[in-house]
Amino acid sequence: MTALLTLNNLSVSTGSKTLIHGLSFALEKGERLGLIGESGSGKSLTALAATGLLPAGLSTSGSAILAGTEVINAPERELNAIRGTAVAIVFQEPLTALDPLMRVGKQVAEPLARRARRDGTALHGAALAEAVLALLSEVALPDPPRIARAYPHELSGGQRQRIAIAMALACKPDLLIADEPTTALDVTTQAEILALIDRLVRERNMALLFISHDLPVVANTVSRVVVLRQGEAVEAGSVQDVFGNPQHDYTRSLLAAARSFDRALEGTP
Amino acid sequence: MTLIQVQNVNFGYSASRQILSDINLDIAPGDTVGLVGESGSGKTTLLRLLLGLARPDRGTITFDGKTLDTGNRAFMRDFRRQAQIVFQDPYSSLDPRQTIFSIIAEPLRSLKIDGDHRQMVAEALEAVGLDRDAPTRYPHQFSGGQRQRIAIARAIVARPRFLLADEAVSALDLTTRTRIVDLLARLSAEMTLLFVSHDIGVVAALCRRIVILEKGRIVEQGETAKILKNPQHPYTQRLLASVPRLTVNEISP
Repeated sequence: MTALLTLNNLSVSTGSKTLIHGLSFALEKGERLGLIGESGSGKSLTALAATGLLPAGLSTSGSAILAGTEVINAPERELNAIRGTAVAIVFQEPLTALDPLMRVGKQVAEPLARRARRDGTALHGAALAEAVLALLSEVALPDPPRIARAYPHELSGGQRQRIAIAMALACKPDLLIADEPTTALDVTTQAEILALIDRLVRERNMALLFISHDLPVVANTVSRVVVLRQGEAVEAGSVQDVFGNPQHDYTRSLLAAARSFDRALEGTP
Repeated sequence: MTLIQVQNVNFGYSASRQILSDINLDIAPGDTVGLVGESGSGKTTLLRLLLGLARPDRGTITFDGKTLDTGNRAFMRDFRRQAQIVFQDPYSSLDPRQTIFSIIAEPLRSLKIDGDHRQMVAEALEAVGLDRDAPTRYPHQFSGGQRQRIAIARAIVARPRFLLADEAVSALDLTTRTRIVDLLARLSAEMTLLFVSHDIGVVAALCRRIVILEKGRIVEQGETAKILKNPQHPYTQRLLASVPRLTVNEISP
């Protein structure tokens, strides 16, 4: 069985500075992998490299194979065929991911219609409107007809992130990449969104690449992790192994920091 | 004995929408208090009132027994010397064109504090753990955590009695966050600290007392240990239950 996403010795640099250094990992269908690290560790860059979204001017070497297609240095045409079919991304800040001038129902309708076209069926008119409402209720938004007519600024941060997730789901991707999807949200909203992502990934048997600096969030969301520091994977393995028995000093320092707040909450400093 | 006393305070930016309702809060000298609330709860607005940047619509705020009167210039000059703030984002709260010396000495200049400013800045830098050669450098030469140390040095250089911190560690990486929390804990031995945050884990690590704010109302307040062990209000319970823990997956330390 071939993996859904395979990075092999992937490096990204700006000419003088190496941002990602020889990164390799594979993600199977239905698997959940966490990429953890602090700012500047190259987590988001890895996701962009894997989907061919790197900004111009960065040079890449090595390989990233997504759904059987080599992404690195592939032409845009080829990449567009995989984006929104094999993979969809949910970003950190839903407000910048949504068009402020378009009703959210229409924004969700776009990827739905495109996916239908790609599957060789047509989806428009009343059937498309119905599919939008069904998707909005799938991401547990209240009163879908009202939400569909709303503009992004009329929704709360959590509701906007649900819309962004609905747009990703509309693509029916095999792989969902979530880049710090709850970092901009309140803690109670974060809990709801994490539960939603967990349910959807299981129900649809999607693979999940979950990017976060927040170790407790990662521990509760994925089964395997890669720890990144300054573009290099310092440690990889199951959540139980890496968090329970860390081998690298950097992983230990991250865990110690996370535990100190955990313990404070337990009242045992 | 209280340093800050908030009594029956109501506030709204417009008459139709009340932001804070019936706020009662006492902060004892030397205490470390965490104000916890989610976005829109009114925590930053309450901070603005405590700094004298806005006036309550109803109720009173006193500092050291005297009413916080934004119109009383003599009182406000003295108050500004005694109450200082650290903001969330060290990238936007430091002037990129000024040297670190000039940034940290700013309160000394604007508050017209006499004395050897070089010595005072050097002491503040030492207190926050920055190098002695920092004063001649510029903000862009420092990392996020170091910048937050610079912001803290600026806040403590005039030796205030009351330090306010508005989400002061929220923009920082996890390991940096623990170091800044340690620094604030150390500084709190010498001053009264009000730490405002949405992150109850950080507050639990730093503060002796917790005040929980929901939709402009204080729903629960008391000793941190008691509230964590036995939260009374449903909102506090939901807040605590929502915090993800490393231990959930039965990973022992």
